[in-house]
Amino acid sequence: MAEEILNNEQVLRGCILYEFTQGRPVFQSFLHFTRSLDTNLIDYREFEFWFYRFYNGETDLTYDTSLESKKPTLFELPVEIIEQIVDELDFRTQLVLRKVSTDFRHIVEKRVPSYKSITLFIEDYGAMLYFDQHEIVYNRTREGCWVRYLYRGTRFLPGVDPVKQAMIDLKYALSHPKMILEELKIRVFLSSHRVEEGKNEKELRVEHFQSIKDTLSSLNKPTINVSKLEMHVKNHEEVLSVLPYLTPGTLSEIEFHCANTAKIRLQMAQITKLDQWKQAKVLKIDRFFTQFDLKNVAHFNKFEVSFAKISLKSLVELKDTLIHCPEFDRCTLETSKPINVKLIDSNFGQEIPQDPPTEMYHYYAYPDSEEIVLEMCVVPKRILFKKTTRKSMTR
Amino acid sequence: MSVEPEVPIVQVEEVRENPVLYKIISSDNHVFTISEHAVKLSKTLWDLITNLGLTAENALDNPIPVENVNGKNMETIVQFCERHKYDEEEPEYTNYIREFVLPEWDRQLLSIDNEELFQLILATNYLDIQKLMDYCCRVIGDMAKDKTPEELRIIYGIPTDAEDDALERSASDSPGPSG
Repeated sequence: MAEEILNNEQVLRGCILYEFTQGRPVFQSFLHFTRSLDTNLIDYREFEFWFYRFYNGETDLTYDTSLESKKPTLFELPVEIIEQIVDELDFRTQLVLRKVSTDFRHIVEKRVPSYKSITLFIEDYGAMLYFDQHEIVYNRTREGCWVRYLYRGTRFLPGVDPVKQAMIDLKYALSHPKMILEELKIRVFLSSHRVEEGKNEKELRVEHFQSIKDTLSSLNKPTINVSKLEMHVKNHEEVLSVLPYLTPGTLSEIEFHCANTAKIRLQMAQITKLDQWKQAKVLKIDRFFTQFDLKNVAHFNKFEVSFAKISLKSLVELKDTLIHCPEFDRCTLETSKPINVKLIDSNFGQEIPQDPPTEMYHYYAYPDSEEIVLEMCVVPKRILFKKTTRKSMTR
Repeated sequence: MSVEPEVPIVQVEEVRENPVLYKIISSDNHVFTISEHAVKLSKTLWDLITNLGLTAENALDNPIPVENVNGKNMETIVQFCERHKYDEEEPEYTNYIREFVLPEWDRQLLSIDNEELFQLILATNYLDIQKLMDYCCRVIGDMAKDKTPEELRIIYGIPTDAEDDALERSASDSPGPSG
């Protein structure tokens, strides 16, 4: 009996009219309608057609739908319009759209992503991803992971680890074939007392950097195009989970910050062998001690590095190298063991005389320029080199 | 369908000074009047008007036929253009998150079912009205927001890849020319 009633078109339309009067949005109305009547006699397109007729005050249930002109479906729109629609979608909806069908995945992946920087934080509570200023927070709970999108609400993923979920989203973003990032920032900060599933902070850091490495090494491209890398790390292995996966040459700026409260040593031997290091132009190593041959930094146009100690011999070598690097701009070297300023003498080569002479500043001529000079400023624990002009020597 | 009497369906609102008016005929022979400021929002129509050399004096005597847009869509388009004719240009898109909320008036205007919206998009694309295109795309985007892949398939009538494959298989299995 019920089925017979439902086979009557006008009865069905009456049911849609009832749904319309309940004030739910159209899609929720449709879901309620199909659930309540346990029917799939009407598809969404037909439901929506009647719903909007009622919305516009047309309640004639006997309306002959054959009078309607043929209307296009989504896939009958020109592809450039579909692309424009995809561009309008927020990042999360684009993620969802990729899963709708292969066609959509291709369209989404053809678009140039609007974000220029990606930041990944891993902390005690879970993880956070920023696409420019667009923030996604992955919060750990006992039952799973709460994902919170800026302006876009939250959703709960039962049984999911927040860091793993962040890695899935990161992988999608980095896989984008047309992506060129201006900046990639990776920061892992865990409390030193942190224990999770029997693992201490050190073991957890190893695990997190392993997932980052797995993510970066499993992309659909050999290396990622990034101009600047900024990492907060505790050792060289953490650096090596990321640096080798970025495109050498495209990567022009490298920053390593120490994630430890006290200053610790960063081993550089493996890092300085990488092409990514050799082809970068700007370097900053912050709150780490390092110890490596200064010739390994001479190719940077700008750099800031702290050393445990700097020998005068290596300083002379660096000066002699920099004076032959037209691209060089400036650098700051810090040293824990003070330098004896008085020992800077003729070993450093012919100085340009100053009037009046200073103990702190030293100037050296570039081999093929009258105007450009190399300035070396030495205070006991800091040495600054700067490319400057003869005019600026006058103090 | 016979040509309707030349009574404009949409009246020009907010007459400032003495606007120059143009007449447009839709594919189903509905006639619309539209002000100069409003018609400038459509690059296609404005190019046409310029190329035809229409002036304030002869504009109303030379209705512009638009074969690709029916009366229903043209009505929405004229309403939209009249509403937004004095809008200031929006700043260029920056890298910051756009949290654009569709104004209530436009949301009401674009409360139509998806297929009508697609038809309006095609008309908007043909008439090259960037602002309306942006708004239509936003409506579709808002519709897709917070939906699962399965829900999006229902909304847009998209078969899953498996269904798609099955369809293709059955099509290729069906009897056809041998060879």
